[in-house]
Amino acid sequence: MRPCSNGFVRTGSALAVVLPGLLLLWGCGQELYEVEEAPDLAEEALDEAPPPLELAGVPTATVQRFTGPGGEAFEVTLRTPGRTSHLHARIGPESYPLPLRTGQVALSSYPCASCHAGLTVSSQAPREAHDDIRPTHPSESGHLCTTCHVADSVERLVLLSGDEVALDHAYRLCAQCHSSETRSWAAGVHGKRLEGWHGRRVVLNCADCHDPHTPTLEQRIPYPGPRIPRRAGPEP
Amino acid sequence: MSESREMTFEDVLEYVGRRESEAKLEAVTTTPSPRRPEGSCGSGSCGCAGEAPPEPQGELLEKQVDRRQALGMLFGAAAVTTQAASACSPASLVAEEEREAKLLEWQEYFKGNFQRMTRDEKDATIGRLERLAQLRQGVEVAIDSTEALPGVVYGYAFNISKCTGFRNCVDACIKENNLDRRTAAQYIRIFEMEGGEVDLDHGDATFQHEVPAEGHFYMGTQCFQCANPPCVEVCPVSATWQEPDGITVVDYDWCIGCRYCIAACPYWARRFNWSEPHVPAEELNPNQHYLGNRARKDGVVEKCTYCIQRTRQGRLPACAEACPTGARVFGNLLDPNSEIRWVLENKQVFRLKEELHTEPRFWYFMD
Repeated sequence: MRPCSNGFVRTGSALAVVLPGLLLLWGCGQELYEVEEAPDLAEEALDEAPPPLELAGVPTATVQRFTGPGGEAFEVTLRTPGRTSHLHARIGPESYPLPLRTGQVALSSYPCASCHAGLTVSSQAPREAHDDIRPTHPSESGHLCTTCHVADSVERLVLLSGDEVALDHAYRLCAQCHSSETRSWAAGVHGKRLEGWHGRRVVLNCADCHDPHTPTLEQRIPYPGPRIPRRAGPEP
Repeated sequence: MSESREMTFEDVLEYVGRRESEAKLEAVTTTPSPRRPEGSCGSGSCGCAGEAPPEPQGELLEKQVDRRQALGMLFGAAAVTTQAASACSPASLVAEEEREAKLLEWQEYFKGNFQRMTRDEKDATIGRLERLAQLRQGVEVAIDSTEALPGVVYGYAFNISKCTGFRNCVDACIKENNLDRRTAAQYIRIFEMEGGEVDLDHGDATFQHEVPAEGHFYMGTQCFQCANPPCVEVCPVSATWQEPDGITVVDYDWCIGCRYCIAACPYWARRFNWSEPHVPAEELNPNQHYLGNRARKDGVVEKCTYCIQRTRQGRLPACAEACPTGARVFGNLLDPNSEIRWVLENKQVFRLKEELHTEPRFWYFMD
């Protein structure tokens, strides 16, 4: 147990009460996610990783993190009964291949605090400054901005437990409600592999495909369908 | 004629060059004819006439060569001779290339079934095909002949809850597999289905409106790489077969175009080339496999091979890679840690027309 940057003292058991959905996947490896911690955390964290939580009939898992070469790579090792998989999540849309560029780093160019320093995130829909955000997800499910964003530090996310996570680990936030999707995602079935069908599994983070404020994919005109019967057209 | 080395094509060329039009089919299939027309190449104007061969025709037959090989070489040489005779003038580069291309085409015409080729023969035909692509279309292609990976059987799962009908997979497939642009051939069909409907006869594959449409779901079909493929059974010439990794492939140079396989496939997975497929050189995918996306001819059948040229290199099929919704799951059925196995173990899956016992290696599942 160790005090974190935000002053919280966290234990695996406290989270176990608050986050049953999360438990399904990540058990009690919580403090391993502090991205801003000293870089040598990686080595320690692997040694200190607590044993997987044992629950009868429920798949258990541990999460381990390391700092990749030049970026915030992390590797998640899931252990479910009779099954071990290795998941290498990709963070950020242009972070391929390693080193990874994280959303967190990109945010340093647009620090939220420069506007939000004296403000708090209000409960109302974003107006002028955020007219590109269409918050259908919070409005449909009755959430406020502060359900997910830390009120005085908007670039950080807050879990239902009160724990804060970096934007790069938004999947932990999503997993609180969308547990079955997260379970499929961790198994490599929701979303998809990027590098190939064998070897290391590289997948996308939730927010790489879904706009967190408007998660549903939009309708669009598809690519051309078949010509039936097939007839030769003009020279292409 | 005691030399034991195998007769090369150059030997034949040399011989035919001297003998001109005398190299005929009957010369090989029957005993050497004593009848020898006094040398003339027939074109008359050539300076090559009148050079009498010092050796009898029997020389050709005493060398170690099987019938198919001999036919190929003789006809190839005859074609080249004819070509050379018609040119007769100072050989330009174009004529030289034309001559080489014709020669290669003739040799190609007499090659064997890919399954029975030795490694050397495979390399030889691939060399010829690559050179022909260069000569005929001016494109550099690399034709691969990687064999099935040991311990791998490919499986595919399709999430009908996720597919939204964008057809990115279809587009990627066309580009990857060099499908005919003129007839807009497509291996993949995406059927738009009414909610609750499972009969593909009521699905619409030609939809062209904003998708996903309300109250509909989308179901993709392609070749399912059956474990018990009826298309392979009906082929009269063994031009199509199942590889050890479960992919059913076609030898485009062995197919006779009878289309029995198209009739036998219960999933409408095979496509016939009524005309020679046309792909603009700038759109051609140069990374090819002999059994996959290499150039096809007219009058032969082709099909989805799970992108054999990609999957045998560890990559995903183009359709799975292009899918923006993650509806397509591909992997090794023999690997208990693969995603495809997770789907089979954890999701409700079904296959099309299971009652036919074709055992498709393609499952549909829902979230």
